[in-house]
Amino acid sequence: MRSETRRFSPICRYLRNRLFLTGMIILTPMILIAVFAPIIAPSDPLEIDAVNKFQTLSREHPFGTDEFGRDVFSRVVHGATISLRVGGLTALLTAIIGVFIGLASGFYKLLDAVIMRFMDGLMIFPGLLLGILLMAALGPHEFNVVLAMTILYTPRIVRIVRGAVLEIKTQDFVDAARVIGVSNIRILWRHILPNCLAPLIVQVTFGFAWAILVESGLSFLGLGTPPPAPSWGNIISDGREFIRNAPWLMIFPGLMISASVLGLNLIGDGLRDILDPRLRNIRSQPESTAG
Amino acid sequence: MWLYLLKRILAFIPAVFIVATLIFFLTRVVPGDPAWVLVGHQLSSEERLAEVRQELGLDKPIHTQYVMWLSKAMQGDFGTSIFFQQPVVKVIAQRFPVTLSLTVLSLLLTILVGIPLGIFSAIRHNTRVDHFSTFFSVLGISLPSFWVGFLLILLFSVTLGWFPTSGYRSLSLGFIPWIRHLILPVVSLSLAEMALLTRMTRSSMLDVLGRDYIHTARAKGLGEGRVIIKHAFRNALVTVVTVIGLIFALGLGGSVLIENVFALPGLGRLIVSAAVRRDYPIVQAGMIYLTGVALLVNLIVDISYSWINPQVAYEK
Amino acid sequence: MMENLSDRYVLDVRNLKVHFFTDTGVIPALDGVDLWVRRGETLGLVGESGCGKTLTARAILRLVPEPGRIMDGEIYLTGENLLVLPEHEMRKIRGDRISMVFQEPMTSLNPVYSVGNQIMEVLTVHRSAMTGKEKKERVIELLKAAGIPSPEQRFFDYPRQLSGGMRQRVVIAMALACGNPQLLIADEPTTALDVTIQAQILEMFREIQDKMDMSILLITHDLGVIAETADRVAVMYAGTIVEYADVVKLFKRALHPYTLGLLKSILQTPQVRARRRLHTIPGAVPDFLDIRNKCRFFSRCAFAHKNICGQEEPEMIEVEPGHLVRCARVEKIEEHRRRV
Repeated sequence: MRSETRRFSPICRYLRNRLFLTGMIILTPMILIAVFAPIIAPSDPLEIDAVNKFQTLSREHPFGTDEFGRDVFSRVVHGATISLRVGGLTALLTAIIGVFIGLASGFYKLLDAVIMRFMDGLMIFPGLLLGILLMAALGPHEFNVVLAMTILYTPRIVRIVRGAVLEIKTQDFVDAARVIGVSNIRILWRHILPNCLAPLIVQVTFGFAWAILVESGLSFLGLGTPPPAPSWGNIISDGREFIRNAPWLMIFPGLMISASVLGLNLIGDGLRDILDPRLRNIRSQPESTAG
Repeated sequence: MWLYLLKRILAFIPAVFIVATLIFFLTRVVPGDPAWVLVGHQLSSEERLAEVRQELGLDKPIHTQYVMWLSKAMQGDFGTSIFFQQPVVKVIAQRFPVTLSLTVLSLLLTILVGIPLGIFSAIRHNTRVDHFSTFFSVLGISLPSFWVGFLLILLFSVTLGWFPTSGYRSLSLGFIPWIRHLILPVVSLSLAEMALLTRMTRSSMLDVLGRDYIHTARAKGLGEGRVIIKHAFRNALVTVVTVIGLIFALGLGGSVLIENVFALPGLGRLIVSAAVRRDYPIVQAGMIYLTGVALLVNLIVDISYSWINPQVAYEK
Repeated sequence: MMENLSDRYVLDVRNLKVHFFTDTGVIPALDGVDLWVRRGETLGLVGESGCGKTLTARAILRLVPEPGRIMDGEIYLTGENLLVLPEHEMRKIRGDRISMVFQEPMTSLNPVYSVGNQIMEVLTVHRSAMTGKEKKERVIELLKAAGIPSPEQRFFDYPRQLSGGMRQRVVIAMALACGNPQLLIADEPTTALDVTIQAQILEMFREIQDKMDMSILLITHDLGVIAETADRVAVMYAGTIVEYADVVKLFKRALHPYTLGLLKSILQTPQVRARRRLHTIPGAVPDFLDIRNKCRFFSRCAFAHKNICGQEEPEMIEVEPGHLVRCARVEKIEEHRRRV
């Protein structure tokens, strides 16, 4: 099967793809920052220092300080941990749940009608609005942000997986397996799932990017990761009142969001070209919040 | 053709119904007692709370409340705002034009920029222009719009002083003040929309330009302009149009953020503050208005789709 | 002298070279093609898929797809070199003096316009003096001439609503819209159609040709179609012409080993076919990057001699008037033919 040959293909095929390579170059430092935040950050992101409010950029405070005298650089560095954790967890959860629902929906006709109705219902809403409703219902907590975004994004994964299943199901090797008496579960696991992986991986990558954007949006509205945790959206939200006097408060976290999302979207585009050129056109597109 | 249209219009009604139902139950599982909000933070007695609950109908079982709410909503009555103490419809009517101006203008700008850029990029495939527009379109969907909004304020309002930093003037006060207050919000909202539309236009144009009928058109001796616009773009439009509905829905979601950045008194901002205040009649009605508009735009898209793509009319 | 020859020939292609500029290198997809078509005759162009037949057609219309480019050669249409014309002059020729019929009637019509609209467009560009009403009448006339029943109604039909055979008739009507093309290029016009429709369409070509005294360049991989319709045949292999003869001669006395292979694959009795698989030429069209300094058929040829065919590309030789072969081993092949 296609996925098998792919597994053994040399890494250089990935590195030769310009989109993928650029994306990796942008994203890798972000991940390193997120992982080693406690080592990189010079001070505690929550430490208040009333004397040194609104310091401009200096050697001690490369990104200045905020209205409580907190070191913006340390906050942005720790923000990487939070934002990438929330985004990554969402991507992982949507992938797992989406695969299960998508496989079931694509494979069992009866379930399909019910599931797809429900998924379409969820997709009617302008995404961010539903996110706001969910967050208002669930209450501000980091895990609730993950949960709300998972609910928003799972339908897209389900669609992709279901579409792939429906396509693969018609192919001969599935019939052949069925004829020799292979059980449905085994067919799903051994034959269908591996063939769904390419579009799934691409869509999950775009989902990761999407989640970082939405988390920042929700935090900006005060409905995301609860303050004083320094998620990037929160830092921008804190800094908005001081845009005239201390624009650095919001410029740096915004740059970090943009860079991570850009990196992930480029990787997604690259993966799509590498893994499944047929997808190139319409089917998978990076998600935008338009916000 | 007409049958297709009828089907589309009929499908619109249950969709609105499903949305309304989902919204009702989602807003009612919110923890936190609206009666509390109404009575305020003063130490209120249990009796006063019970009284308020009864007034709002909160003492009845949830399904009774749902039926009551739905039957009233169908007559256009969404109850009274807990916070404003005014009919919800009236509160919303003040804010709706703001959101509509913002989102519709963004969509127009998006179409005006995104489609030509996508076409241009496709016919100049693999040139520097194409690489630039491809990069622009990935960048566009990667920037948080609210942050872009702040950057625009910083540059055009704070530094250059060309546009107001925030606020809104109604169109009835004149076109110039209206548009001056909307330019920055519209630009920041449409950046991602443009990027998405450019991408979609480019990829479907590339797909179409490789088709046999394009060769036929050239072999007929048509000029390149006619080949691109009449033959290629008309076919690309079949996919592009379906994206426009999606983009508009995205814009509605994004408007919540943009209205917050620019302090525009729109529906999105109202919904966020109402959600925080547990003013659920506002949240319900506001959500229904916005999703209703999204559905309506989708309906319009479907109708124009059947006009653009004559196959639909014969196949469905 | 060249110009005098061109007067007799409707189409005269000399040393046409088209190269593709890909990431992995330059591919000489057409490597010196010579072709000529006389007034009122049908030249059949045969070869395996990928040998450059369609590209030749596109190049004659100067519509080479990306990343290809015409590098060298001359293309004379009744004595006028098309390759030196400015693009707007060339555009006037396409669809008027040279028309083309494509292989896939399913995809060569634009799905979002009615067939009437698409035929009318040819008149709009080339006959701008005609009024809307005249154009419409003319289109209906064309549809009728192309054997389409109730053309007034079909005018408003979309391609989807017509069968494959009907669509091909529409395409032919479109090719004849301007009246009298000097050259009609038909690229596998019947390949996508089933056998009975095939025969009808080929019959139609013959009728049109008789009536209009038009020259046809018929591209096909099917020697059966050639036998039925062509006057002369050019056999193409890996971007160049390897044999050139009139149709009777070709079937009787083909000389190039490649042509022999093609003929063998169709000229078997049904009994032979039943016993053995269809004769196929071993190997595949060579990689274009790998044919320098030897005969391009070298690796697949049964008659190849390392010191002769493996050293340089053979020249085109005229074995008798009007019969040309690009092979260095013609004597050997003749000898072989006598023995069998």
